[in-house]
Amino acid sequence: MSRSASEAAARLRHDLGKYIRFSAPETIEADTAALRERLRVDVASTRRTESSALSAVEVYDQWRRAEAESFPPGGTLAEIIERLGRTIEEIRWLSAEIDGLDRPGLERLDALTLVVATECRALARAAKS
Amino acid sequence: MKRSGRVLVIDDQPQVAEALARLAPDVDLIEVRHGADSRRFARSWSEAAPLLEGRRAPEAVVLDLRFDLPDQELLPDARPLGETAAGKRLRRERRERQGLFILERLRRRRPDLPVLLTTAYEDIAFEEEALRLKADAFTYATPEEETSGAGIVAALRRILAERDVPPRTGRFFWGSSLAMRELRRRVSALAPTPMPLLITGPTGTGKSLLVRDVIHPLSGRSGAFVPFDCATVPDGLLSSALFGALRGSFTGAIADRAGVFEAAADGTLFLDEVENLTGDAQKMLLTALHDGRIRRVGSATETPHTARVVAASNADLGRQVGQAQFRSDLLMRLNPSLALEIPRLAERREDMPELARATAGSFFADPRHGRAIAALVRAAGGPEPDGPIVLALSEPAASRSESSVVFVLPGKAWAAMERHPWPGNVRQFEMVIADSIAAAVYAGAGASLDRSGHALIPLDARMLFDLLAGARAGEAGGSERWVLDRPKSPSVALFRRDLERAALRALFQETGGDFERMAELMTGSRREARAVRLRFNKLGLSARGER
Repeated sequence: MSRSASEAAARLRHDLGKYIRFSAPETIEADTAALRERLRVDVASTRRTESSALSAVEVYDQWRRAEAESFPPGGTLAEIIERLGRTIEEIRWLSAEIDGLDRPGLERLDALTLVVATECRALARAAKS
Repeated sequence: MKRSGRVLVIDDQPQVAEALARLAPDVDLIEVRHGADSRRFARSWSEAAPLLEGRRAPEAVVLDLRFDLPDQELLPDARPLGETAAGKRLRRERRERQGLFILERLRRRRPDLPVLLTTAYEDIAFEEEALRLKADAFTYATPEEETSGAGIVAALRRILAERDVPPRTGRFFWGSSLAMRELRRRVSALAPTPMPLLITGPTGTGKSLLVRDVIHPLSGRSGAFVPFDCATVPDGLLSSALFGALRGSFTGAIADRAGVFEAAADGTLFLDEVENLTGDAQKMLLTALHDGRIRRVGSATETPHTARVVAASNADLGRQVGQAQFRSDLLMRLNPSLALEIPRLAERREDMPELARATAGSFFADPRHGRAIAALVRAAGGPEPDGPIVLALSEPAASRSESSVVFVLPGKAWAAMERHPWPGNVRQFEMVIADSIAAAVYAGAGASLDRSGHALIPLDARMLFDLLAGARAGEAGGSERWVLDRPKSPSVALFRRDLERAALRALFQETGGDFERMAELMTGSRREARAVRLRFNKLGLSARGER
């Protein structure tokens, strides 16, 4: 794979894959309020500086805009990015409603963050090989 | 709350510092002043650099790899990059590699400061840099499955725990020098693997102790540790000793016998002085390592073995390969690029004070010596010793000590010890310390009480100097006068040969034909016994004829 694809994938793994579950405990919180609060921090403020915060969806959108050309159409990388895109769309919808989500909705959002973390790792690995 | 260590987080984002504050409140996070505010992470090299030294210097650093910072805060030169395509490309590259730039600057000032990267090696896109980081003994990457906040905290705790390790594991002495800390880290990484290992280092550095007390226990193997000294087994018995023999396979084989490979099943087979293996034994060892199978002498069938082989040598095996004395394919199977080299004591003199105190501590811990020391103190009118007995390395250090019993090594003698070359390395150093303490306990001038009632027991400086001088004589191969019959020979070459014959003959008579003792008299070590015997035979001498 090209160096630019490998570096772009590593960037997504770092900025999104690493931080979207940064505060997640080993097993999901039994307390629904704690689960909601953790998802709010990790999904809504995924990349933070002193003055601003980007949500997971915004981090992905920015990355997609900047890096679209680094990946060839078709093949393993495109498939992973396609799956990631679909997952991010569902996160976009659920995270906008996070305050009103019931327990199953929060658990679904948590599961989606795990999918994103796993796919980011898979993308970085595939782009390196 | 007990503090676990001072840690500096270098990251452009707050999440890692927040996770540490939440999950590890016992870790002392270094604060960074920022105008009127302060935060618990440095977001750039310029903020981190002033915090690396001084009384509140960090004991570990947690470092991110990618930094989204403005140009003027980016290493290597903090210059504005502009909005051209080239400028944008360079900015992106600097941001991607900022953690690596920071690490490079940090290493110039603190080469042995533990640094935990909050990125897994697998996630570093730059292959060359990742390889270089792996080679740095004090840089750690977060394991791939642990890049969450909790994982980073767990990895940091492991690193902080490494600081507090005792100076000895079993009888093997580590010390805290850079070289030994690096060795320790490599041993931790390699010991649990099944691969054959090679330990190198001069005599007395503790190669066999390292394998017995560190590598074998860390290997997690359920079988026994089986040492085998390749120098002491006669050539004709080497193969059967290693691989076993069937009854009747050679004269004297009166029953089936297992070799050390079988004795070390599921355990560790330690082949000391592996350079002494004969050509045949080297070949059989190669087969055992390569195919994982062994064959008893006299048997037609091979059987699999499960011993993990660790070999040690104080010879230059690469050179021996060049001289056709050691098989290159066998050396390759021993993974020479991963060889664990134990440095000479003279290369890590900063470990000597700790080694002296640790050796003395072992001596004092022996109850027999403890009783003798108590008797000395009582004879001086002191109370029963209470608390630890210590060794002070100078008279002023003794007067500052708060222990009730202090052995005092004269400052002048200690200075000489610090300068000594110690060719016998740790073993020789420990003997000198232990012998001089034993002399003070059992044949010394006794104890005296100082004004605070502390019992002071001096070590005899003259004896220490004698021990050092004896060691020097040993280094030079002995300085005793030696009278030989002068040979009469027709040429210089033959004179030299006859002189050597006469010398070996005299040594043979002096030692009663003990080649190990002959080697010791000649070189200060018994390790060369085989070479001495070979030379003895090559010069036309025979043990039977000389007896």
